[in-house]
Amino acid sequence: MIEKNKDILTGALEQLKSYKPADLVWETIEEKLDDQVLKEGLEQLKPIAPPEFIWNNIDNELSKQEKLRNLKQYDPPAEIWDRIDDSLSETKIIPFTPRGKIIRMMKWTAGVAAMLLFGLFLFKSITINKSSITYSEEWIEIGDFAFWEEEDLEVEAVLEELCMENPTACDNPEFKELKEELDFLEESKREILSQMSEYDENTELEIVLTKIELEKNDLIKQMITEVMI
Amino acid sequence: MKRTALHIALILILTIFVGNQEVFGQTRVQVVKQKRTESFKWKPGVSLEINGERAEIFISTHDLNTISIETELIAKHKDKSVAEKDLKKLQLLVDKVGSKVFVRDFIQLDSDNKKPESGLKTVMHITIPTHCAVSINNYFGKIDVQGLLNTLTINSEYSRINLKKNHAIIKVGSKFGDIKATNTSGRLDITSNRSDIVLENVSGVISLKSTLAEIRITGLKNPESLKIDAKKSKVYITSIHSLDFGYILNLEKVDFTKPNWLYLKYTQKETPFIKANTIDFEKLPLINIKLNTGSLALIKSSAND
Repeated sequence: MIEKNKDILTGALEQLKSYKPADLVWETIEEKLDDQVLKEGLEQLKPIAPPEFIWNNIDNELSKQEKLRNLKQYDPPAEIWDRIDDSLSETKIIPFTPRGKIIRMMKWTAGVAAMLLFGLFLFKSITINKSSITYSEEWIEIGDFAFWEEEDLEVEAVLEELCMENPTACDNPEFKELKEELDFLEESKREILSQMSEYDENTELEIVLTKIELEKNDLIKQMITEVMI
Repeated sequence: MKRTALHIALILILTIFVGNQEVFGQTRVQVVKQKRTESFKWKPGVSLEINGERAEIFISTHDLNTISIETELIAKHKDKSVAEKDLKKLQLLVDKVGSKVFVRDFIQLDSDNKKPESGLKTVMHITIPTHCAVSINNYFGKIDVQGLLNTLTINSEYSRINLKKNHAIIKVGSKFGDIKATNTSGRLDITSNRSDIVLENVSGVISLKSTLAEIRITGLKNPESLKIDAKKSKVYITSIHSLDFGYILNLEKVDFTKPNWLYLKYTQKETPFIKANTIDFEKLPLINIKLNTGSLALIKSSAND
């Protein structure tokens, strides 16, 4: 729809006065709004009765305060205050007797001893539970295993000499296989000897060395036979 | 008076002997030991790995969910200060990383690379739950494991191995270290070089691959299978149930006398080969022996043996 008197309407509207509500109005509205939200919230809350002991505690507290209020108050006589005043102004000199000195020293000693004991306890609990070192003595027969190395070089020299005389035989695959086994045994023997200690019981290792030596003997015999053929 | 003089003389002699470091071929040695204990909580999936050097490893089981490790580092020498110094070279690491508990001992040389003069060794007493998987590497020492119900892997050199009452999957590799397994079932897989093998009262699946070994199997009872692949070895199998097994023998250069009780369905004897099968071996627990050079003895024992 088209407004026929548009200009008149616009002019009339411009002449209208504008009003602002006072701050108090807004505050009242705000308060009422808050009250309403609170009221609605409270209505939704479920009423819960506190347990009996809560009431008892409140009761006790109230009766205690009541009793305290009912207590009579006494003012001490003036001479009491005078006496306290006198004693405070006096300087007491405690005599320094040798007995007192001993007692004081004993106290210090006891304190230090207690601290030392505590320290020792801490040290022990740390070291013994986790790791502790002990010392003892044993009588043992010192092992001598130098003789295990005696003949090795001699045998090697003999085999080398034989191979110089008959190089073809030493190139034989069977001879080479035997030589490989012999080398393995010699290496194992060296490994064992490097781990043996004169202070250890080496019985088991010496049994292994004996087996190695016996096997080596067999191999050497076979090798010599191969070269001599 | 004479008696007093005699006493004094005796005391003097004893003092001289005791004061000396040597008496009748024996030497007084100072022993320094360092003990340590550790404990870790265990739950399924947590395993134990030991890397030992000159270690005596003793593993047993308990009902607790913990891995308890007691170690003793030992140094022996005539001179106490040398033993103390060398003991410091023997290092021990005990730790848990992820789902593995590690125990490792090793000798740490000084900057001068001087070998320790003392006799050094580590003794480990480890207690674990029965279902804890264990892996051991050891170089010179001893290994003793009993009561496991999971997997056990051992790789060792120059270490005697003793396995008892394990019902597990066991894999052993040994060089120059004799192996003994007693009352064991499950799966036993041994690869050995120059190590003797003794199996007593074993059952399950057994596989031995050996070079230069004396293999003695006794009390063989209801094995699912026994396979031996050996070279230059002596093999002895004793059982009261010998007749209950099927045999496949593949022997080359082997000293073997067929026992009377062994009926061979198929024998091929072309010196130095013997190939033989027993009747119906497919239906029986199978003993399969391949032996190159050595001797074989199949012995049927009586119940009293």
